[in-house]
Amino acid sequence: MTPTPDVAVVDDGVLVGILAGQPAPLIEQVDRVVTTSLWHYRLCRAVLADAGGPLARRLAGASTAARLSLLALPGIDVLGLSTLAVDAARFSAVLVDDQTVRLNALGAEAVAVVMATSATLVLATENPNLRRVVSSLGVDLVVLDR
Amino acid sequence: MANGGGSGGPWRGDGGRVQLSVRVPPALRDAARRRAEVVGVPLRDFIQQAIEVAVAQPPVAPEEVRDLRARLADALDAGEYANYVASIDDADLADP
Repeated sequence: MTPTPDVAVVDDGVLVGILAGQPAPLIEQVDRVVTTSLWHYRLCRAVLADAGGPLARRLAGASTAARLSLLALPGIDVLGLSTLAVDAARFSAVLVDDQTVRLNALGAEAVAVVMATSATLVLATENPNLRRVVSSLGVDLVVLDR
Repeated sequence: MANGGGSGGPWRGDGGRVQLSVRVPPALRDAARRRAEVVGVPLRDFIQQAIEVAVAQPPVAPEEVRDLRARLADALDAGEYANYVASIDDADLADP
């Protein structure tokens, strides 16, 4: 059983569950939920722009105002590159077991935010590179089952 | 910012100040404090800006938002959000 963290940094897949009114039990128990600016951006892009595919068809016809209201993140902090750019850049390439693991901007920002908040990283989907890096830094990572 | 946001909004010149007392859940107050700190403004200014933005928004029927939330839940259950993420081909935004 996963111990409940005080702070959770969540990806956009977890955020969608929160916005959809289906937060994971773990998320309901944490004191503070944080996401990153790029995960937030991916979510906003999916809801506000025409992302194409079944998701866009599912949301078709909804007004922009309703979409904006849905995207309000009550009680969720968004942190990221605007304030943690230097840290994120450091985490774009991390030496793990004598191998350099490279992270894209999304991953590097996530590591910077999770380190800045002393949080547990909570993902909707597995991310092997991110797991290797945060494990080497002593950060807990949880992948939610849906 | 559109209509009313920031320090130059139309509400600033109305003259005088009134007290607006609202009880909110402690978690919301704490979140507002943290967000104000993150954006670097006093809590008072943050709250005023939030109200200015809120009153500038077009009204949205609650049932419309509920409907959209339900559709998002259906999309999540159907794996459509995961598929959207998997389809992203921007190297800096894609999952590996």
